[in-house]
Amino acid sequence: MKRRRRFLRLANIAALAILAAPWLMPAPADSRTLRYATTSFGEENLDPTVTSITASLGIAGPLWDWLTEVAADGKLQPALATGWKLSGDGLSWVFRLRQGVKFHDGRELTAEDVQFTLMEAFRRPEAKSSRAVQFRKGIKDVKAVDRYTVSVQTASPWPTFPHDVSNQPGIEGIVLPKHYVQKVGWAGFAKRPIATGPWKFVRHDVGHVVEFEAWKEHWKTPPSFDRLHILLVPEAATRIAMLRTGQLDMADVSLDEVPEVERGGLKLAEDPQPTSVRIHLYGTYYENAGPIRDVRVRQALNLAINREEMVRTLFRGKGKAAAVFPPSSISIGYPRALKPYPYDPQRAKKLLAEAGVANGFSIKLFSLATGGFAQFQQVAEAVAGYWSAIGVRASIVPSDMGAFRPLYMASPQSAQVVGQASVFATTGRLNGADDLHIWWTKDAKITQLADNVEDVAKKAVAGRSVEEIAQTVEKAYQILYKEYRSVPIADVSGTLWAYGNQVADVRVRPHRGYITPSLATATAGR
Amino acid sequence: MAREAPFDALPRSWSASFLRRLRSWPVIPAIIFGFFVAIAVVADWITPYSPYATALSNRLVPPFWEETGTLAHLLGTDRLGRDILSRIIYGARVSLVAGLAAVAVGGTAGTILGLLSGYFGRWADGIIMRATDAMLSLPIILIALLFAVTLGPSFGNLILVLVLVMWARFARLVRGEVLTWKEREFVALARVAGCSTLRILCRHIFPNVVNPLMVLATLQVGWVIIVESSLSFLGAGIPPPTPSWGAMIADGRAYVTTAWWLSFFPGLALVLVVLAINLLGDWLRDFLDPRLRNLN
Amino acid sequence: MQRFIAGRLIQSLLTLFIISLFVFGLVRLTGNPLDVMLPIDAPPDLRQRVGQQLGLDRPLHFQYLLFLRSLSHGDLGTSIRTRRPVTELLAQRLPNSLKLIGASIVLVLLIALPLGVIAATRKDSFWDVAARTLALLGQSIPTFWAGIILIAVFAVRLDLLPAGGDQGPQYLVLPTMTLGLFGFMLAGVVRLLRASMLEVLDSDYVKFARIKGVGELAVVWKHALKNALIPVITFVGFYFGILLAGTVVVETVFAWPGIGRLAYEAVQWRDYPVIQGVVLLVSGITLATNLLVDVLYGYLDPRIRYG
Repeated sequence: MKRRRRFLRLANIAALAILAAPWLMPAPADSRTLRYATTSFGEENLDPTVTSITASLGIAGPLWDWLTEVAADGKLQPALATGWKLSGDGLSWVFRLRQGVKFHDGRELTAEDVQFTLMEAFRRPEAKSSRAVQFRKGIKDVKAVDRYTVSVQTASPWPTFPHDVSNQPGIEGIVLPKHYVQKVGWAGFAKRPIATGPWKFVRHDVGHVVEFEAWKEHWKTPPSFDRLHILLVPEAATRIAMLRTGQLDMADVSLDEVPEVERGGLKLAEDPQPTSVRIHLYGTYYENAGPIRDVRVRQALNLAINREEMVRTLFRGKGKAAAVFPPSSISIGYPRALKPYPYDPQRAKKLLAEAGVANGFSIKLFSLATGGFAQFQQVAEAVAGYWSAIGVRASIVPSDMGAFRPLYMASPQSAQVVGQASVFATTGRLNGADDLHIWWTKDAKITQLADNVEDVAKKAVAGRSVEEIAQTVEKAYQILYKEYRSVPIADVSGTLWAYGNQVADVRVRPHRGYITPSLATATAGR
Repeated sequence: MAREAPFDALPRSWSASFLRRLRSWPVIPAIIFGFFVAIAVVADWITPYSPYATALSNRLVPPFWEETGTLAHLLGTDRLGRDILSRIIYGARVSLVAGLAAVAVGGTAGTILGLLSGYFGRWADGIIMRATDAMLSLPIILIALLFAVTLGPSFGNLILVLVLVMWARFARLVRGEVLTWKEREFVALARVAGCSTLRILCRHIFPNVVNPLMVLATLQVGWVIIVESSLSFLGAGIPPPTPSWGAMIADGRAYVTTAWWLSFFPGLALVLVVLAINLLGDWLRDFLDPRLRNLN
Repeated sequence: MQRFIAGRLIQSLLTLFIISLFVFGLVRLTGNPLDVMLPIDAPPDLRQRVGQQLGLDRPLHFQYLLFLRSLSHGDLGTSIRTRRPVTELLAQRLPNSLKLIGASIVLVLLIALPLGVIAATRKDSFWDVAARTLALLGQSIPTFWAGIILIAVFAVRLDLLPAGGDQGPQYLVLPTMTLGLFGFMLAGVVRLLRASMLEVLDSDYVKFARIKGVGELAVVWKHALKNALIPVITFVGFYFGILLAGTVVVETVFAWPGIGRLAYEAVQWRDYPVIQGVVLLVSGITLATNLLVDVLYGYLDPRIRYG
């Protein structure tokens, strides 16, 4: 009797196991859902006015359309605005809006919404998107001339304004729904955002997934997939495994994962705009900057690095040696004439000897993990290796913005960073003057430069025409180049996306390293 | 729990049992552990290359028996062209020193606090035990991460982090032991004989605590090495380019199927050492723990 | 008995208070969320304004008192990063963590019971050494590495299981294996079970059962095991809380949306309220389970003195 009961129990277990077998297999993929996994959800708030670019473009990117659009070659094209022109006094831009563009609730986009976005949304006291400050200062007034015409009055001439409301530099060129925000408030908008973009918001499970469905009435690119899921999968090895097993259709990968991606038979999409990688030298013109105050030392630090070798090996040939940081070839004012510094360790040693540091010196090399570019650590280690060959002893200090920023914010001459170095990587902005301002003026507090560059940078920002800005920016970079103010390394396709057979093709536009606004262009495979 | 006292109830065949147990001591783990200690000590003389020398053009070379491998790098090279064998040898030093140092400092601090807490009782006990309880109920990895972020990554700070999360285990153990010993006759006798408190603690109570302490300390060395690797994975371990095994495994994880040697060899070294330490600790526990010694 | 429980309860609350003070201070030492959140060229007035909105401009002791006050209402504050209530975030994540931990504990017990019993009944034999080595081997492999290898084998090579995510029971298998086989719990349970089995097998109770003529199998698997399980239950109870936040590595590898990863992301963003919330929740659960186990233990084992 007892034995029989035990047998029955065993039979039960066996039956369960058999029943369980099919459920152990992953469910067949739903071909109408595009599943994309990203490394980080960043600041996970869907309100674009109060978030950094990571949140605005990383997870909310599928929602947006911009007034103007920059194509992969850097050309400015119409988008929500079909045309724009500058007034005679050079102080106001008139935009003609596309007719029949609908928000996700069916209401048409009008000049009122543009006025609301520029004058209210990005001007709220809590607005802290990357250029909210610039827009608050630079825009004097926005008027809805008629239903489809809007006029933007600027405080001073702003020749690059149409570039600045495009998709490339950030988020401020999108248009938010006035009626909806007024109805639900900003908190309500953050929970259930609507916009005009190709994907409609469905659900947000914090730290896990954001779901969208295709907005079939999109004016330009109604997606070929029905649904879009953006998943958070922080570990690269897992993302690739999920791609290979068909659990995902697309995922962020870095250059380190390229061999695994190729082995798995997956395809790669590259950012049309490269990531600019450099070693930054802090406070090079301060008295207390130590050895790097001497231009010969800075030159030596530059000559010690074999950029070609780094591009060939570390960056797998996907990039090229750089002469400047951070503008890329599509940026206004990109100094095309400058050639990357050569590799000449012998001369570097000689220069160090001339500068009186023949035995080298010690320097801290902060390695800042700021997302997007995954190879900070290796760049730091490789550079430390090159420098040690000429006797410069770099000790690597891994850090993040939360730990590092207070060091240089504390005081412009903070002894903790002046005279030290760090690895930086960023995607250059379309407007070279912006980058010059952010990276090379006293305002930004990232670097502090001698007045010669500071003045040029100021002049660039205040340029009266795109050509004038381009010329000034180029001049500033020439000074920086000649004085070896930093150690540019390379422009790298550091941000890559792997995709499986579910996706036939995707055309990535320049969005400063984010693919989400381009996901509507993904076409279904098979 | 009721606990037998070894001196009150010493088995008659104590010496025979001692010999029998000594014979069953784990030879293989001892050899493995000894081997890694030895290479850690003589690392400077036996490594073929500097563990820091990068050579980018020579990166991701497979171990010598693979098709494109070379005898110049027996276990291949890593993402920056550094010799993996050399890094593993130096890594033995890093891992073992980290483990021993953290356990030595944390163990000492915890033992002192545990002795004070257990012996003096009252408010000292109250404060120390609440702090111990608090520490033991905190999520360790998370707290270690917070400490690591606060202090900044460095070898010394990592050890400090581990000490800060580890002392409580020792304090709790030692206090428990002290409580069972301080009521014993020989302690009372010593007190009557006019021994100072310090003397009673050091000469009469502490020696009785040594055995369980040794067991815990041994096992903690393995724990430290494993936790360091987890912190490396989370980006808060020993900073590069210092060759820590944990960081080497973490660095190589993107290459598990294409350049498996990056993580496999340091992983193997780590597993062998931690397993050896754990087996030795287990054996030590059986050997020293009076409760188990009295069995059979 | 009641006095014992009351005393332990007060102790636990006091401990929780110490923890709240400790974690409140520690998170503020890790850095300022404004440094992570604000754009790189943020002017000082923006910094001040956002700091004010988040209440970071107030004196520290005042912030702490506010924190305690809302805590007494069961309110853990609002996440600085996502602007959502911390309690809501915790409520979303806790079930996922509990699922993972529950499954791992079951797996550990399924493996540890036979291993522990074999080790005890064949003490010092080959089987004993093998069982213990096997349990220790798991503990000697870093979990993240084990997880990645399991993914490479079971998901990619064999195509048997999903690699990551959480969309059904099959997604639980690999993280559970990783946590169960490669965590610190398995070896602990095997070791403890072996020791307590040895003790019980040597007891009068078992000797008496043998004299009564009960078969050896029944003696070991029924009479002895039942008694030997008591310390194991204590241990598992104690371990429960540790696992709750110790899963951050496994959760990261398997993209499992649990408590550990919530905390890890919060550390990266210096999201004070979320870190505080997670630590208090985990410590609270640990203290509560310890208390519960102590009390249950008292019922199960009358030899325990309460004082």
